[in-house]
Amino acid sequence: MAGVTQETFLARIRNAVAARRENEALPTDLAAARVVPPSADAIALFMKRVTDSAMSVARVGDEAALVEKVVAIIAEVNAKRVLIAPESFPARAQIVAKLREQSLELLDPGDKRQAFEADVGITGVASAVAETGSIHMTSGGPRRRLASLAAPCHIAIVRADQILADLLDWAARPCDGRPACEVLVSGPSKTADIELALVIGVHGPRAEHILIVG
Amino acid sequence: MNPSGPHQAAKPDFKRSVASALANAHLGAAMDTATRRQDTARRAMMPELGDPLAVRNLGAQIKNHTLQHLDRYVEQLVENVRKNGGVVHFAETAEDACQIVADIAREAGVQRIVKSKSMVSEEVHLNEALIDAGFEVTETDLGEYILQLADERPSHIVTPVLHRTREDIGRLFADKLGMEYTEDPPTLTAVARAVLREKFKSADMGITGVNFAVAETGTLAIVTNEGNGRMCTSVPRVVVSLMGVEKIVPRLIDLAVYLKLLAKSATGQRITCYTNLLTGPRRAGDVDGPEAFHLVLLDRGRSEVLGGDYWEALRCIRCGACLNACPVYRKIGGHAYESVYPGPIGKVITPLLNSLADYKDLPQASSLCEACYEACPQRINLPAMLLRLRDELRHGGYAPLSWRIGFKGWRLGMQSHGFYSWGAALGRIFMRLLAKDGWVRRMPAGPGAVWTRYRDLPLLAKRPFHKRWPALKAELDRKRREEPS
Repeated sequence: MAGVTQETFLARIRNAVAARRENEALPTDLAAARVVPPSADAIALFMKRVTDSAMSVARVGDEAALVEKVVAIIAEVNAKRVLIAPESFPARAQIVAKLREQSLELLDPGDKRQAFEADVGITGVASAVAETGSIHMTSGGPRRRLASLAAPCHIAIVRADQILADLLDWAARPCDGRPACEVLVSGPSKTADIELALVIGVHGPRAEHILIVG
Repeated sequence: MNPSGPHQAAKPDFKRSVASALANAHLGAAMDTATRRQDTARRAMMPELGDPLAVRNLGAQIKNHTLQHLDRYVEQLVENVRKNGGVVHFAETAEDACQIVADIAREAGVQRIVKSKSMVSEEVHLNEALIDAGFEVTETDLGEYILQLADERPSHIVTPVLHRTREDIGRLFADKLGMEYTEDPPTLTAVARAVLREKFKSADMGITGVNFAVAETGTLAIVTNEGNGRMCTSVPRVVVSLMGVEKIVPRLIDLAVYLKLLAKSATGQRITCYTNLLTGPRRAGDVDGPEAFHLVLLDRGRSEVLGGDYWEALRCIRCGACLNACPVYRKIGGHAYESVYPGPIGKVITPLLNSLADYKDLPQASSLCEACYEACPQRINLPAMLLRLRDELRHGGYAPLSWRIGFKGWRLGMQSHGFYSWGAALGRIFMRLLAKDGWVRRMPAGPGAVWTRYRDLPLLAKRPFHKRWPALKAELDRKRREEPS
């Protein structure tokens, strides 16, 4: 393989580091970077921030109301084909049953090509961050990377207790072996590459719907 | 300095390209509007950090520590990427990096490659190398895709096609994609989306840059707004990430600090739409994701910079805030710098990563107004570095004779009252011969001629300020005494 060995590569960096006399400590207290105090109403702030970044958000009290919301969104975007990620999230079984009842086409989450055919993708989340209005999703097990990416519309189902205050809280969560792929989604896919004119919906979903349960 | 400079046909001629940029009124207007908008958005968003200066200091401190112990963190990163199932490659030069990526593609039997935006891939001219090696390479960031169609280089490190109008892009799409002309950004974007979606579906390999690499977990962070970074790392069976070795941060919690700073500084967003974290290839039992994952670490002059006087420039997180803030960049745009990294940060790192002799004009292209220093989320003192580079140029004999004589004369004048008064009097007599209504519109030769090419020069005052000052001061003191305190 081309390139140089690790030793050759490191030797140059070691020489450079040896030439440096400064020796600053790695800061252990990052509290100065905290934007949202732990005491803040994280759920209210999260809802405000996701609305600010052009996502839609609703909070429901129970699973029955959640199923109703999902059905309403699917009707609103006139979806025919739905990809429901085969992972655990609130009311998943009821959502599947309800959509079958409405004779919508439920796509096979195991089939890579089918992910691109979906009109709507429905997933749970691993956590959410109020500071930046972000939902955090991970790969692993049955979860599909494309379920929240390939369809023009994504519905994320968030339990109220999954919402963290600050990005610092998100980064500090204990994580036993990181999944291969994680993503913080903080808005619909967008670009401003042409004359800084904002266009929503490039490679990812143009509609992000967040439903909070609890 | 690194011998492996960019593959450029001719030596850069900064003065000529600046003259041509300034003659393009349309470019000047486009750059001015766009950079001011991004700069305003940054200023509006930064206060959300509470004490932005404290967060910026924290960011600088973390990177300083990391750079001062970079050998240790490189080892930790490499070890963890391997533990996660990734393969790590080491490139000392641009050629190494291109060769490594081409070899990976060849060995994996790859044909079609999709690429997410990466400045370091521009730096090593990766696309040209891969296309020469027979691979199909498609840029998938909308701006980069437009540049690829137009066969151009980025003019801004975050919004690469800032110099092009919607009419330009409409004509380009009509010409290259055979579609009907439109200048409507949503329509143009939709067409690009459709074309690129087919590319994603059939791609064998995805290439990305890296915004941050977390040593303690072997995780790579890639931020995008469009989602192409996610596509490039989710669909193809092979993923290759290319990074400059200075992109390392020690801990995941440090990443949180930089995520707070990066998008706010770049575009005035709170955070980018997508922050993708990659920790190796797909795990056993995962239903999707790449089977193979490669990380290419690039030095290309960075270790030399790290050992020298300009090491703090390696703190840069490539947000582009200094470009948007810079009065020079706003006027001339990115291409005039004739380097991959334009603007204030480019003026410093381009000579360092290539050769000061080839880019001797860049450190001069600054008014030293410090707007870049004020904007930089990593508090890199770019104006001080530019001054130091100028000093190096002078000692290296790169300053032209006229400058050396001119500055010697200037020093003489500034140090001696007699010479100063005499010089000023002479200057005034000379200028009066050329002036009309108190302004000189055109100087025949010398530095004055360069000045009057773009602006008028006021006539030197009849009485110099230091002669007027005693009377002015007496007047001021009298007024102060009369004012009730």
